[in-house]
Amino acid sequence: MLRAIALGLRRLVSRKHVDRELDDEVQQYIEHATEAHVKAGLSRADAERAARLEFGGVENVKDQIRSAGWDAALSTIWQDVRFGMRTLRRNPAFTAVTLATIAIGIGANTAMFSVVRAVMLRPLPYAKPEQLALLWSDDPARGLHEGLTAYQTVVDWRTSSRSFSDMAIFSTTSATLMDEPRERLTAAYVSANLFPLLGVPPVLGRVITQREQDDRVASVVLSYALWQRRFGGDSSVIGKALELDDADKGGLPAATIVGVMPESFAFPDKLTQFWVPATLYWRWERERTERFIVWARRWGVVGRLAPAASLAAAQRELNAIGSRLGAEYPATVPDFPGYVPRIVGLLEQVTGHELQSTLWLLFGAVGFVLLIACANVANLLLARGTIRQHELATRRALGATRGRLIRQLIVESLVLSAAGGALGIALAAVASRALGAAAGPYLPRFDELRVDAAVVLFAALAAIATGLAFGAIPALRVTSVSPNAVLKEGARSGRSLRRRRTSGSLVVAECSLAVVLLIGAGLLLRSLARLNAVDPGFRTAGVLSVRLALPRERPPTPTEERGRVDIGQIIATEREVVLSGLLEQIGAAPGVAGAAFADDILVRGEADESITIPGRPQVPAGQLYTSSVSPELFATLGVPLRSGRLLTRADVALKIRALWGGLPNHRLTLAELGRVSLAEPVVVNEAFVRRFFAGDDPVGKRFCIDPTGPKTYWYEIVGVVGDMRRQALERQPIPEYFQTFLPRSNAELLVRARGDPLALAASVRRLVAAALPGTIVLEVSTVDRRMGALTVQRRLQTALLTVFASLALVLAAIGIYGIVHYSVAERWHELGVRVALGAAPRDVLADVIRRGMTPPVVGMAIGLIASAGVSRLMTSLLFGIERSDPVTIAATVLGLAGIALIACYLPARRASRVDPIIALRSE
Amino acid sequence: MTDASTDVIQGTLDMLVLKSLSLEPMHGFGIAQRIEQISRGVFKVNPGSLMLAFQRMERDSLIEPEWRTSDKGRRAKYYRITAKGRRHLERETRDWDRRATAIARLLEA
Repeated sequence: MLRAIALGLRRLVSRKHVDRELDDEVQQYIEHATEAHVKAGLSRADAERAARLEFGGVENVKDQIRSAGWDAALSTIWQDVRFGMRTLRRNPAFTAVTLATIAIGIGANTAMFSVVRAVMLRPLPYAKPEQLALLWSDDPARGLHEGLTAYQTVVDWRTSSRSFSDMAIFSTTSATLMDEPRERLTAAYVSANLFPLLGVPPVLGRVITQREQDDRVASVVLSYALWQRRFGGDSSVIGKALELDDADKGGLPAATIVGVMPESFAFPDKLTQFWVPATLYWRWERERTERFIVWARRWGVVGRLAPAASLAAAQRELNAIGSRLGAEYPATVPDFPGYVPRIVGLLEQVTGHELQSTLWLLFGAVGFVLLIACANVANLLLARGTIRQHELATRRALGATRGRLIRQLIVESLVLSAAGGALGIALAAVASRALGAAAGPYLPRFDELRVDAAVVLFAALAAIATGLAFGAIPALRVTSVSPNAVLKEGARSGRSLRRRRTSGSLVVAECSLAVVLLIGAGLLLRSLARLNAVDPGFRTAGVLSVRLALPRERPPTPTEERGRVDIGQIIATEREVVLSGLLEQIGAAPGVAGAAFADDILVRGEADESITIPGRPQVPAGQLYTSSVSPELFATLGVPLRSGRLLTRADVALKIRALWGGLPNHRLTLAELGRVSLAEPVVVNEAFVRRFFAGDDPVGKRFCIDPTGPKTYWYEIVGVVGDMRRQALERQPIPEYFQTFLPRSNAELLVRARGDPLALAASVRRLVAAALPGTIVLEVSTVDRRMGALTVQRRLQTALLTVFASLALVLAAIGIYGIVHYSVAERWHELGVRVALGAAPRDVLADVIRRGMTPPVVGMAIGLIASAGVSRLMTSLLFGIERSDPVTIAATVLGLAGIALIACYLPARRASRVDPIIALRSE
Repeated sequence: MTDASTDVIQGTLDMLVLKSLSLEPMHGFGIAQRIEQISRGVFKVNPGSLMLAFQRMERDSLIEPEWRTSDKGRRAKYYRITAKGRRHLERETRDWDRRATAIARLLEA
């Protein structure tokens, strides 16, 4: 076989040489034959003649020999390619339309594939990532998801489980880098076995060792980004100290840098900038033996499955282990979720199940667009094929086989699709970049969107498949006619009926696909509109949002320590004064209509509060949320007061007293305790009242948290405000109570502007820096934008599906126009006859339009039926409308019918103006 | 010519060429003469088919080309059998014998 390849190559490379050899060989043969004849007695001339006669057709033999190798097939294909390119050049209009159509189809699909690849198909940056999974202690009954686990439980799991070869723990925290410029970073406490478990070696230095974890040594591993940004990528950073301050109670000490992770590594998310041993956590010793208490349940768990284990088997095993643990160590607190973890594969965790199904849906949708593009091009090729029949028939008559012609036509189609595919890749690169820039900050892995080798390969395969798809039918159809018939009749062919039927079917297919896409896009658009119409319950426009990391409170002075006064109270009061002063200053600044603090304008994460209302059923955790807000918040954001009063500055003083207040007598009943204890004033929302007070006026009522613990803390409801939807607008407002604001670390400053809120950013920063030196500004944005981040996924999927549907509509319209146009051209003679026989232009118009509209109408009917099934897949994406929303269906039908009508009308108008004399003369 | 008989002829031709070359390398016409001689005129080889056969057999590495300068100073293309060719010839000869005996028996029965 190698020899065959070598010979073929030689023939390709030095064709002349090989040909001359062949000539020589043939020549010699004849000479030798001649000699033989001469020896046998013939004259030289006779001998030569005899020899030549015996040999037969010299050129024929040489031809056969030349075309026997694989190189010959290659060169004929190359001939076909050049011929195809010439043909395309000669028909620029046709070429332009088909190139554009194919480029759009392949470009859209390639762009969508690059998304699917970046988000779902590309493995995560760890060793054997398909074996990695997270273990959550969920409590679905209380609506708690991604629940964290106590260390002791993790130990139990780890020792008992055989499906997991190892488990590691992690917990993210906020830490301030104290070296200038000060930065608030996300860091993670991790167990030493995390890095070996993930299987990614450091790019510099080493990772945390088990010894360091056991001895609670303060070593830190940096992320690549942090290393580059703060240390300039200097490799002598190993051994240097990192000055840190933990935002939580116990500060992280200064840590020694021991290693740097590679650029592609991130765990548990891309924000985490460095990793320290879990044992450095300030309450490690206290919490490590606890199983039940909520504050001991703070660890995320990542596990690596044993080589033979599956997720399902691991889940079953851990279910069993969990039940056993439950029997051995019965829970002592009511809200313990149990020992059974929910195991989620790491990739699924990162991307989210919802996003995955959305992307597959969109990938399917864009496939429709490609099919429509193929149908269009096939139709155009069919139409053009009629014109080329004469040429093809001549070639058949001259001896070309049908197979050879089909091969040529398919090669031409492949040339077309290859060129279109190349353009498509360029389009996809642009679209990819735009998508990555727009959605990168909000959706997982979108920032890694790019057109790489795998994507290009996909585009190449798509181009080949497309070329075969749209080339096959026309090639078969066009060459199926017998050359005899074509050559006899001239340019007109009687097989146009079959061709018209094929064309018609293609248009029917196009239109049905277009209808499905249009209805899908319509449903999503209406859902988005309904969602945008939901009133969030507070002012979102024109409000500046500045997220701050406040500096630590000052440490007590020696006098205060000696004086044994309640330092905490004093410092808290001081902080309150500073903050209210700051709010007043900002409120007085030009362009400001109001300012307030909140801990976070958005409801984040799970609500794990649990309160007790005397005389009413216990409210379990997960049903309730709490926020801290400064008294001005409701006025600033325009939240209406429904009953009672709003919070005031005096309430803050009450709060401070309650926090540091004396301990009540525990021998009283809960109700009596409620009456006599100091209570912090709070405001609740209407959802709270609806849920827990069944519509009664709650003003004046009290509730507490942790009623059985040593520090029962009481709240008194002083007012009811309107609901604020501070989560995704699809969700119902969560019952909430608002405490007065006394932040320790993070805060969000909300400033209502008279004009553009971002214009106030600079002056606000200045005022904040003056009042609270050492504050780090985490993010400056507007409330609009922050709320907008909640809907990014919905807006993305709506936008993409709308784009695909629009492309489908345009392509379908072009397809319909093309077919009707060609059909009119074909029927020119017949139309001329009609008019000559007395038909009115209006009749011709109606006839052409009727024929042209039949396939689209049939297609729409099929599409409507099909979309009834397809929209079932979309039910989870809809909001506020039915699957069979009549407005969407009506709009789609009218829209597509209207466009189809216009597409038919234009050539029909031309047809109605046919001059019978000219038409009859033309053939 | 039906495909079946061309196949037989092709296979037989290959065998005959290899047989001719098994003694010494020869040029194209020499092989044709040899085949005619050995088969006592039963097989008169078509030169075109022969040259196609040479090309095919060269591709399959059964024979090797060799350019020699004849005494007259002309370059001539000779073919030589390869080791693979010899093995092929052995195999084909055995097969042929087997088939021939089988056919003979069939015809006698």
